[in-house]
Amino acid sequence: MKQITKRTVCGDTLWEAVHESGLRVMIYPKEKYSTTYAMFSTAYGSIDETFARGDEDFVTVPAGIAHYLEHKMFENEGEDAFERYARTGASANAYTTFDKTCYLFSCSKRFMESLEILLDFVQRPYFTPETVQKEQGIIAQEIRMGEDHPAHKLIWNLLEDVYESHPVRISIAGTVESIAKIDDQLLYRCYHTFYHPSNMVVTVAGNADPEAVLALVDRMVPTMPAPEIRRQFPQEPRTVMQKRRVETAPVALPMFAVGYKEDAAGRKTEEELSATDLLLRILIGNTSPLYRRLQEQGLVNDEFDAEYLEGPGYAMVMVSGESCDPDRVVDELNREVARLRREGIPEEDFECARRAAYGCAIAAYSNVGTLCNVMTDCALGGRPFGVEQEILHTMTRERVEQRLQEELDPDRMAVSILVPPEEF
Amino acid sequence: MKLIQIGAGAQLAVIRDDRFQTVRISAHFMMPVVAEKMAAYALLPRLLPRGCARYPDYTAFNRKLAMLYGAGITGSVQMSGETEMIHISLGMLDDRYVPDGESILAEGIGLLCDVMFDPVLDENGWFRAADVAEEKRNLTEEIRAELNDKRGYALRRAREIMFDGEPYGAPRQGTPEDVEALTPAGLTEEWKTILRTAPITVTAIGMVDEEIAAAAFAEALKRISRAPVQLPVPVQRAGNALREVTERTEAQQAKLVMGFRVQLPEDGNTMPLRLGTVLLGGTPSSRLFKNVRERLSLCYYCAARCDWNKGVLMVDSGVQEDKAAQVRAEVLHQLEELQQGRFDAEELEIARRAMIDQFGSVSDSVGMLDGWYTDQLRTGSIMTPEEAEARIQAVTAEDIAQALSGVRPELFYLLAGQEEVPNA
Repeated sequence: MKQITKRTVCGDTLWEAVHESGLRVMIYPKEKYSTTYAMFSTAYGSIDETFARGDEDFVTVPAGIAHYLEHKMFENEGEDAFERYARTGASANAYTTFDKTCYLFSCSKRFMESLEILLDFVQRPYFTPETVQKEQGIIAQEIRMGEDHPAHKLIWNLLEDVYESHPVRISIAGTVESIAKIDDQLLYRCYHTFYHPSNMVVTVAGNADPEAVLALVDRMVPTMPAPEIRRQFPQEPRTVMQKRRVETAPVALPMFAVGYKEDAAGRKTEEELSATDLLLRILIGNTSPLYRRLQEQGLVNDEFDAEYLEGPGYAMVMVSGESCDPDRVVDELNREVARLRREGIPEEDFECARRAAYGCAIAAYSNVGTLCNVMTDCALGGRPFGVEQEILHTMTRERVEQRLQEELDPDRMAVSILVPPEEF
Repeated sequence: MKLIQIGAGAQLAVIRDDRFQTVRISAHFMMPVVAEKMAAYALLPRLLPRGCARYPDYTAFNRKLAMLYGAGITGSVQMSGETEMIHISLGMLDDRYVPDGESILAEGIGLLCDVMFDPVLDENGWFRAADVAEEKRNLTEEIRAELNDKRGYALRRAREIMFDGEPYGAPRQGTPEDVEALTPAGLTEEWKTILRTAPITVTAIGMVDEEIAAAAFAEALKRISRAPVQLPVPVQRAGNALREVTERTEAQQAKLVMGFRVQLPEDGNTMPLRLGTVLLGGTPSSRLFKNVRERLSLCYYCAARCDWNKGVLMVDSGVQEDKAAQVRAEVLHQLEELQQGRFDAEELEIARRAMIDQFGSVSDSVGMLDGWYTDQLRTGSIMTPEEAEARIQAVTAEDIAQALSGVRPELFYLLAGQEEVPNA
């Protein structure tokens, strides 16, 4: 290891290390826990469609290939990864998002053996034309399953309307047509570009001996020159592509999602994310006047929610829910944003949100799975881990009001609605 | 675990543990399942956490909780065998993590007790009409939205069809018509009946001061003249003839559910059945995953689960309609193999290790500990995760074949798209 540092986070000792290869390692031991959770992740997701390695020419690959690669990584010449994990009893999985692919397992016994399996199979790709072909039926069923989820359709419609050309508008798993173009050579090309240790992070939380983990990483991860990864994203206009789309779906009650596009030149800081979180709690949380009003008028139900989507080249606030009258909800929402901008945020509302966010942040430290996921997000997003207590401590109402002026712009908003067929 | 009597038919189970950043205190009310009452049982846990006599205003109540560092009081309902359980839970930061040495535990417990024992009532002594109307709408919308998640919907429909006429087949949350018929007076009466007659278990997990918790609940229960009912023993009906039912909806992918009746063992040891279910379809090394998904590429998921409180095993898979018969035949074939004892020692050990590993992770989560002990406290046979592990270790291949030999198919249910697709 090139560098090992230790610091105290929420009463525990966090280990952070950087391997000679550039691989980052974060270990959060939890005393007296019997479970351990581990993740091996690469900063490579569905949006990395056009890229070049080193001096090579840019290449554009079929949509859904990062997710396809994730499926195929579990296979090997001999035993597949699931068979190997089966011998240790660990529960393993993997997932692909817009900007990362994560391989993970959790276990309460034989942790080091399982960690060795994880570090080994993610570094050992094995694809043949036949094995690649075999996966198409399985992934096609996964795609169809997603198509039957109205919530998926709602969000993909919204992303298509908010973004004109950024690949975040394309479904993570791709389409049945796009995945048909994937072959073993393309998979190897993506693998060798993005699965270099310098583009990756290992996170461990729970019952683990940090020194043993670092020693294993030292033994299993080779030191090799890091290629330069160049990613290309199309220029994205300031405004949304289409402001409103209504489609039919087999839903009982209309579903809606509103997206407010933001500038996304660089990644958001931890402080900005925290301010946005507080803002959304204040605006639509169950302590807000808006939520109460919408409930009393029968316009929203328990599904009403807000989240922030942010990554390389994209950032937006999304508010979604079910409503008999989505347009009225959107109208009320924009009116409340305008009112808060005009009148400011009451100190009491800010304090409620700040304390609730504080409790939520601390509670996350009890869950080893959440810990690994948050550490991974921070490492790959270039943000420090474990600083929310401090940020919330110094956060001010004025700062959240400033964020309110930057976000939730109705001129950069798109609305996606799904209605039952008879209402179309 | 320590058990403290807090009233007639009411006990407090204290699981003291200093590893968590949070505490969780839950009251579990248990009633026999009665089809006509399911809507009321589903509505009450939504209605109660809206406030209490001290904080009758919904927003003010939520702000009070937010100021306690985002404490949450939530309600839910769950059917276990033929017992309906209403859970009202408080989750909040452990006092050790509250800034400035403030103590919030007693206040949280006070609010939790108030929600149940001192709810918001109008001048007639009933739940307020406006609160009831809002939650009736929320519940109705949730029931109507069940079809949005087709996998869950298909599993529910299969259970309702298979157990038609038995309490176990009752719609979990009632029908929209049942909800419509609920009145403030009727719901108030129902809640009073529950307070009087339901066996109650309160679980307190984390660093909870048991004296504060026991005193608060004992004091509240003292005001009620308790007459707890006997909970029903699940109906063990003789098997039905196999039925095939297809229902159609708007869908790309069909959902196949195969329902099997299971003879529960006379000695009450359900471990062989549970292990057999894992061997059949509980892990990526199971028979169903390896054959239906990996070998035949017919689906993305094909899984088995059992309810050992009732004696039912369900297999479900998302498939193309024209492949459903092929999936069905393969599932039956794999089940028969296991019934005949045609599985090797390695497969058995894999399933065993997976189950043992899961038991090992129970103690690392306040939520999982709550679920683990609540179900056991209901039946009175309490096992620690370590004791469960020992029982799984003792299960032999013959035990599994024996447990599965009483598994008989009763229903093949298919939720398919509007256009019929004949078998390939």
